[in-house]
Amino acid sequence: MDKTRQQADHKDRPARGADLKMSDRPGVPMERTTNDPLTPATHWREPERMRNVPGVTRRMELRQMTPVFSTAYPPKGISGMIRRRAYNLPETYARHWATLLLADRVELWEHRLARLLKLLAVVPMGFAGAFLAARLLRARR
Amino acid sequence: MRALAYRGPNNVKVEKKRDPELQHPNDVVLKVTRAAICGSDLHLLHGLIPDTRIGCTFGHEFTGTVEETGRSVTSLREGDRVVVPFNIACGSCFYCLRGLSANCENTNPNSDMSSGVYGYSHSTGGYEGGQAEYVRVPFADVGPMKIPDDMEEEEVLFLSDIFPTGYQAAEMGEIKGGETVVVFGCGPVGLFAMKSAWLLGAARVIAVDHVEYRLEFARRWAGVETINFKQHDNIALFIKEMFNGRGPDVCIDCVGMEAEGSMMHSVPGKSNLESGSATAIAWCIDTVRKGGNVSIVGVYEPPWNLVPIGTAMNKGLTLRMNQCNVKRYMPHLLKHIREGRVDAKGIISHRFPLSDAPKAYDLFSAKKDNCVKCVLLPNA
Repeated sequence: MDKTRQQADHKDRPARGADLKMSDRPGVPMERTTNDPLTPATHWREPERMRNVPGVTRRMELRQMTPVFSTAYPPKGISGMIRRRAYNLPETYARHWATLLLADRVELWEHRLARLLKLLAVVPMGFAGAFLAARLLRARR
Repeated sequence: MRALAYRGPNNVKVEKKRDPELQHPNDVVLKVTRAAICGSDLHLLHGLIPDTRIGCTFGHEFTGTVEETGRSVTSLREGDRVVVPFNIACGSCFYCLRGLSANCENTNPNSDMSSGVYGYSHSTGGYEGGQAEYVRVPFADVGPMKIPDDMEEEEVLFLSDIFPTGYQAAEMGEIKGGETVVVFGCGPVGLFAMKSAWLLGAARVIAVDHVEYRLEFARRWAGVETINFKQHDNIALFIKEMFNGRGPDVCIDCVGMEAEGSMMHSVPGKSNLESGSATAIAWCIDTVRKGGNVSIVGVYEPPWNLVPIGTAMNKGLTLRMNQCNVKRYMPHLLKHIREGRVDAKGIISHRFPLSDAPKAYDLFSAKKDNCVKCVLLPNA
């Protein structure tokens, strides 16, 4: 036998064919026709809406926000401006997605720059602190 | 709280973040007990998913204990242990009424292509993920399923995504009994697709990958034949020859956008000329017999991929695909786990505290130490 094709013994497998009957399969038919909510605990026909939060992005086709949304990481900086531009383009345009990918790369450089600036601020302050401490110690002696 | 935070491609850290809050009357806040790392989290890690914002927390496979409930939640109480589907669904929209919770139109304001998903970029709504000590769960009366008292978190953790996804993949292949099935990809979803193909009555299941330890695991855990595609010049022709030159009845793509094996796809995929590499779809279409079924659950993103649609058309293939409608599969697959037909927990190869999440990502991404599936224990 070809050693790259290794035959496993799959006779007498207790699980085999357990869901052979179509009626046992949860996804058959693909679309339900009962018109019941997804779960019995879904006690609404129209879900309540979250209160609006400014700054959250939404695609241009939506007249209002979806009833539920995330408020994490609203766009900011140059990448945020690019993202807002992307969400003003229909997602059926490839440039919608290309603009979002561009915003991701820009945000990465914004993040790196912010870290560098933090470092540039912290390192001189550290040196200044050490210098002052050394002067103080010397003065006490 | 502590949570995983994305800091740019191939860079994640564990940081302090604000605790999540109830923002909608049907929200709950969960204390996360287990959070798995999914193969599709690696697409985020590698910076391939549009609108993945710096700072966001990944994680869409998790279990937890209810910590706080919104005023309209009727089916859960504080202290309940739950497993949560990766899709966020309202339960009552056009799509949810049809059982298509993965396509819910009330939870993702940023895109019409899918419902909201936990920790999977702003393209799927920008919700924070479960690789954290706490997580906000919207529409708590719809998604979460209570964990039976006699079962552990890890036994049911994979009902959140990969087991239903693998099952739906096999189901979309329209296996009616006696079919031959080839599954591309021996990652966790591929493994569950193989198990599910047996459950649906396949006569022969063959797995294709190039990572030797994963092929060995598939043989042992799923009882399938395996092929290492790196050992063949033309994998599609090789498999077709195994079936009298015709090919199998069903091919399933459980690989997605980071497939290896074809320079024609890898080069444009890595240089963003297409959205990742569509090698596995191409192999499915080329391999399956005429009139056969191709099922796609590997993750791909817009705007486009190089897919041989002309070959598919001329071969008369049926192509089926979707994100998994997890909720409808949970009770059924729970029964398979409970009755011992599927050892879901058996694929866990590594467990880490949350603080070691970056190490876990590195291990899983580089396929080191025979890693099959990593699980984080955020509150251990």
